[in-house]
Amino acid sequence: MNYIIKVLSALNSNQAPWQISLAVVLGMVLGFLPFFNFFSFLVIFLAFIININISMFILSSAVFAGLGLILDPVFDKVGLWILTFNPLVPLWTYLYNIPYVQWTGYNNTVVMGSLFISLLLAFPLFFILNKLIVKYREKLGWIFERIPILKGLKLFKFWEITKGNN
Amino acid sequence: MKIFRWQGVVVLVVLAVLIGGFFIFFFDSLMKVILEKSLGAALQRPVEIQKFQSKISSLQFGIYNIQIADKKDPFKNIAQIDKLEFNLDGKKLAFKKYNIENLSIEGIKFNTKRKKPAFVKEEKKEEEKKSKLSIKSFSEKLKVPSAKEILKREKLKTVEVGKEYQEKLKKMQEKWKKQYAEIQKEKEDIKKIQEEINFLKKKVKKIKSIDDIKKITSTTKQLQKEIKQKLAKIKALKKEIENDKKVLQKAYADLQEAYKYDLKHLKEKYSLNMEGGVNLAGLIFGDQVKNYLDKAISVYKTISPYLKKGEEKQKEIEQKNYRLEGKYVKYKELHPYPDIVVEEGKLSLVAFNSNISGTLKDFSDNQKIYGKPFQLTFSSENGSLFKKFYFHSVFDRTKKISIDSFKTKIDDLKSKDYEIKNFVKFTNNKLAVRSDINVKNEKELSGYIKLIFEKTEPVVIRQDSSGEIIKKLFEGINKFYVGINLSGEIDKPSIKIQSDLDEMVSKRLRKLIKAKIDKFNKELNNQIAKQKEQYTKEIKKYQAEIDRYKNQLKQYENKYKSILKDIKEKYGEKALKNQIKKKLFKSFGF
Repeated sequence: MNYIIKVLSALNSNQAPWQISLAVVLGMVLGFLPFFNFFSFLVIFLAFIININISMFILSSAVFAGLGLILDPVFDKVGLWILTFNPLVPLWTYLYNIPYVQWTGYNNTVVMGSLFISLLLAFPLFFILNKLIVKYREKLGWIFERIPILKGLKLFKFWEITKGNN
Repeated sequence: MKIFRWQGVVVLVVLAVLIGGFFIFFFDSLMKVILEKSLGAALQRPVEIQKFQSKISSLQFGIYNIQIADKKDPFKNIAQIDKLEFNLDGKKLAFKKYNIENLSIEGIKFNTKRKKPAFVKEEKKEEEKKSKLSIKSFSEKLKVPSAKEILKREKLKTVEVGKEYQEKLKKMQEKWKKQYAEIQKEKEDIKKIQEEINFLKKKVKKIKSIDDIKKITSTTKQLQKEIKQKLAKIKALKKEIENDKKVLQKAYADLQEAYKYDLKHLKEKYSLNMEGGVNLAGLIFGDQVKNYLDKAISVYKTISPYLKKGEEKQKEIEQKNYRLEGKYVKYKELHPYPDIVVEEGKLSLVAFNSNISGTLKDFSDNQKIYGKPFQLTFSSENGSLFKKFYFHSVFDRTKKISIDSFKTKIDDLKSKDYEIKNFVKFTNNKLAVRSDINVKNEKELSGYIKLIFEKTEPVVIRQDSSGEIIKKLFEGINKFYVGINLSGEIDKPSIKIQSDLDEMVSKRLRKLIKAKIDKFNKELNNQIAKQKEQYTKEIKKYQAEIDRYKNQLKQYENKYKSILKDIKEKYGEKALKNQIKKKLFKSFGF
């Protein structure tokens, strides 16, 4: 219930759609990546310094981590394909011979696979989510103001607070 | 609307400081737990570490009091290391290479007692009955069967044949008893015939007419007929005696055959085996060598993969956690270097109640790249249990064919007692140990271990009747060697143990067994002969009796024959006629 409230409150807040969409996208990247990893820390760093919806980011990373668990074998195969893809091998070899780069784990099949897939999905997902949020606010936003039951719910209160905060 | 949230940086910094602080304060404890778990998983034994200490700035690490527990005994450690310290080369670490320039391992001990029991999963205990069986088979060789006991439980053919003839002899005896009584009558008959002849003699003197002659000849014919009948009867009896004698002779021969058969059969059945020797060295050292070898192979198998880990093109990692860990793809390095290298190391080992120092050189997980074989050496002099100890091993994986070698040289080692359970114990041992073992391609095992017992004192433990025999076998043996040849595959090693102890004891045993065999055979022979004698005595007795009858019959026969001859010559028709003729000539004055 809390998760739904958080989603709805985010959707109905005054935050710009990109803030919510980017939070979901960064959450997806973090969720897909194995946790103890350089790229994961980089994503967390970005999430903290970019003005995105943190709740949405945390929620999204949790949801996509669950999905990542199922998709790991796919990441493994895709990662191996990328890391052994001949035209890219000189690049990987170059990186391999730079100090400390190996510690990023870029040459790990699951890391590379999940990073590649999440980055591949990031742009379309960002734009689709942006559009959907705008559409949602246009078509369904009025429901919270007009339906007394929803207005009476804490949900509305949240909405009010978030609205007021911004 | 702001794109960047600078407060976020503050939060991040605070978080980083918190995590960093946690990491700094708890890194050592975390590493301790991680090491315990990973080492435990790698060695498949409970591992405990007392302390892990690190100096990240100088990349120095120390692990203290590592205890590797025995799976079978939670109060025992199979190995213990007091101190393990090393430092990492930072430049190599930037490329994820763990290069240890100096490693120091102090206080390596084996089979130590634990203060607290380790958490050990229960495992099924292996049964070890083999050696006991072998000891039994050895003592079986020395077991001396008693001929009397054997004859009690064995059915003798001699007795069977003897009893069979005993029945026949009994009937024979009864028959001849009757016959003897009959024969005794012959004496009377002869007497009567003699009397009749005397009467005839008188009659012949008084012959007057032809009628007298006729009467006399008729009487003589009657007498001749009677005597002939007697002779025929005697002849028949003699024939019967001959037949019975043949039966007796056959009985004798059959008994002799039965006796021979019994002797041969029982000798074969209860004979002491003189063939083959005794495998004492196998009995004493077989299980121990196998145990040591199993342990050594287990250690070797644990170490071996780390020496070739870097040779793999792609590191395969199994899914251990909740998420797949993936594989690390390796690329061509500008300056190839193994992932793990220990350039030099100093070790100190506690073995044979002494401190043995050692050196470790050029350990790497990819010798083909590193170009140097891994060498491990331990040496010590004047230890409490030895004069000189030297162990040198080389793990050479630099070439296509890998060769790992292990050489040992120990002089004047005061070893523990070696015992054949409840049998004999070798005490006050002083030995020299030499070994040279090679493993080719981590698979093919070859080499030897030689234990030279320069001094030993055998003590007989067995207190029963065999104790004296065992004493005779081992008395005065105070020097011997045991050679253990190893071959085959490392997973299925073939262990051949040979020793001059076996030869010495076998020789003595053969001598003892021969004496026992001779004694046993003599006893067996006497016992069966006794049984045979019982029947042959009877046969001989009957034989003598029959011979007596025969002689008597012969006497009667001769008597009858002489009477018959006499009658024929003196009282026959012709003789009488001649007599009358003579008388007539005499009366006419011729």
